[in-house]
Amino acid sequence: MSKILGIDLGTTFSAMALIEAGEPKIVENKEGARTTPSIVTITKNKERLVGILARRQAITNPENTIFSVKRLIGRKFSDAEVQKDKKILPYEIRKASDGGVEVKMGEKFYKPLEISAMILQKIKQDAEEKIGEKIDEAIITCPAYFDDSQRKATKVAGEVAGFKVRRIINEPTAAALAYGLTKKKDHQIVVYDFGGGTFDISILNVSESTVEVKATGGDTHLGGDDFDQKVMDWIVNSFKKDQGIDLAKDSLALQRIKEAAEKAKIELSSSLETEINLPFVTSDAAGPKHLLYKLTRAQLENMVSDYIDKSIELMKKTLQEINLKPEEIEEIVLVGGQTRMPKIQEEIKKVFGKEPCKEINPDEVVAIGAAVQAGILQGDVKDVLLLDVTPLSLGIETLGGVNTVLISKNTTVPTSKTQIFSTAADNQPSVEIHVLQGERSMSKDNKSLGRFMLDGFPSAPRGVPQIEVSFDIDANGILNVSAKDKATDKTQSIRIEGSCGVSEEEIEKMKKEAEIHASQDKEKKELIEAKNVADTLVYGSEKTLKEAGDKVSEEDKKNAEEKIAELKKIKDSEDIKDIKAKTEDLSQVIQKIGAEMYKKAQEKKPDEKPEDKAEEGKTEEKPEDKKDDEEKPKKE
Amino acid sequence: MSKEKIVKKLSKKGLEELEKEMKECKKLREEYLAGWQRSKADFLNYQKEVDKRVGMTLSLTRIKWILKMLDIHDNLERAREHVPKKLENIDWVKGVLQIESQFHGFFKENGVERIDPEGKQFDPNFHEAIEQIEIKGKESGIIVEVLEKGYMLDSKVIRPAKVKIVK
Repeated sequence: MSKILGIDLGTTFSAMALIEAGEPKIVENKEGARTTPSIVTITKNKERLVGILARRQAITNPENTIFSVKRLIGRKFSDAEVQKDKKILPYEIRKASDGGVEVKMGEKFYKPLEISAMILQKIKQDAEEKIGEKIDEAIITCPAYFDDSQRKATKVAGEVAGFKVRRIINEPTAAALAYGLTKKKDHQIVVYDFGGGTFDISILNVSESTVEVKATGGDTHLGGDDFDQKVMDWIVNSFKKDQGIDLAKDSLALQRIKEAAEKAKIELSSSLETEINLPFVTSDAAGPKHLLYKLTRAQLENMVSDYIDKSIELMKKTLQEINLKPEEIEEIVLVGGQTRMPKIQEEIKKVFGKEPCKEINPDEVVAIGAAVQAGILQGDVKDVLLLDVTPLSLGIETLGGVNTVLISKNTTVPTSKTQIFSTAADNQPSVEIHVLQGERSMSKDNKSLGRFMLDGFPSAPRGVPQIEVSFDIDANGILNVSAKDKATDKTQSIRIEGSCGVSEEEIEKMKKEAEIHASQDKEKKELIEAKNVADTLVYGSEKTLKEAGDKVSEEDKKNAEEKIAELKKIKDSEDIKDIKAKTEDLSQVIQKIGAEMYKKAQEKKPDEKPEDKAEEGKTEEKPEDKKDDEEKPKKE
Repeated sequence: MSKEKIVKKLSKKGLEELEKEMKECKKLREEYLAGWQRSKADFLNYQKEVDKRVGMTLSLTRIKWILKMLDIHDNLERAREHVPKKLENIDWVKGVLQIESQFHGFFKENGVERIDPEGKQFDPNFHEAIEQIEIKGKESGIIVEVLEKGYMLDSKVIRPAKVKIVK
């Protein structure tokens, strides 16, 4: 069956998405961009251009470059909206014989739906080229306030473009679908959509089988572009004040300022301060002039506070219209690039007292939702095949009480993982496998799921035995942990039922704790790792010296012994820097001795290859910890 | 119990039930096998897609970095254009300008080509119009000034040249 394309046909930009391997994915256009400007033109050479190419030539051909046609689609010429837009839009708009609207492009008049069809046609071609198959069907979104005639026109536009339009769905509904909110029962959802040129508020009621739009509101002429304009004005005015030059008259300077303003606005969503730096922005008789301003997040918020306040007021008004109190709203969904602004998120949180959904890219969430709807119609989203994920990481305790993770959180089950561990002490006869669940670095801070012993190892130096530990979680979340000594094939295992059965609150609590303690835990873990390295080196060095016997010069030997003693003295302290430094000292001395011995061995028997000792244990984890300290003679 | 005895013990109805169960089992088996194969294929296809995406992400990251560096390079170029005449032959200035040619070298090594279309006909595939002016006797659509150079990476436009054209 051919795929169904989900399309967000926007006022300024459009986007498309498809279901791939069960997940909705944005499809890039031919130019490699994730959104396509909703602009169409016919050039002087009678060539039709859509998208970014149409935008590039807009200034040379304003009367034939059609943008924002969504504002006109399916409307009557006499509509107040049309009359208002007619004054702003640079292209010719006239009354059609049926009372509708027509726009002039090239030598011809077109219905707005024909222009939309051209945008959809490009989207269709690009998607087909991208995935290498034909796409015949589509789901197209439209604003919740669109009436029958506007919806019909959107549908016809899709058909003219060559699609079989399976559904026209509301943009806010698509956004809610993208977040999977439509599966819940009796839910009130607010969708706050702050796009480039329009601001829409929708209130949805999700019941068992339907999503109903309870109310809509907003401002069709308020958008992120207004924010950019404010920043631009600020830059131009500041420069005028400082340098007495009006950059608004300089087309190149203005272009650079426009880009810098948008960039600054975007940057201030993630940092508190940004720099607008345009060297050689213009020049006068005295020479070149440079523009350099700092803009803080607070300044920006101040500049656009009117717009934000207005949007919040409109949202409250829409709620009042249907007598809903903010407390009665279960979810808030953010749509449109401007909602990335922290101040907007903050204000929304103030009204509802809860975090809005914002994880999905707000520029893409509507197209993603349309693809989800397509997936439902295609039957791609089958409930039976839904697989669970592990909510928390699973691991075992290793030397020094460290939690070594084998299966990390959010891994889809069924899954399995095997890793080789070893012993911490010479002639260690057994190890204890302590199974842990949680995100913290130290085992004692995680939940213990169970433990068991594997014993009967033949005598061997530490680090030599190979203990294979396997974790296996089946589709029902049952965890099987087994450990096998590779020398004897002796195996022990434990079965832990419902390893995912930690309650939701417990999961959240553990995740939060992990976040809070992340840096602290990291330090602790680093210290233990440094101690382990020191310990291993001391052990290895003593062994090397013993094996070398009189092959090492007295001086080297004494030096090494001193360094070993020094490291031994401090290796159990808490001073990570000192441990690392002393470890490094000893390591250098031992390496030198090793190199000497290697050289001597080479001289003695040039035909024989020296034993490659370094390879051993290289792939192994740190030796397995034993809780009982008497099993670790090295740590006396 | 021998096999024959079991068969004897089974009533006709029992047999029918078993057959029915067997049929259902077979059907389920087919369904599960198909589902398994499909999901395995989905996974393999997904992996291929991920590989492709990783490649694409890398190339996008590269483009992003190059574009950022081009901004800095452009400013250096503006600085060169504005060097006062009397300073042109001072070694220090020459040294600074040498940094600009270092940038050129870097871009060239990385497959970045320049779009500098002065005097050519406007083409939105490579150019973005910023301004148009009337010039008598000049053909409409001709680029009279390149306000900002454009760039291509591996024959793809990563930044169109910003141009002034004849009305």
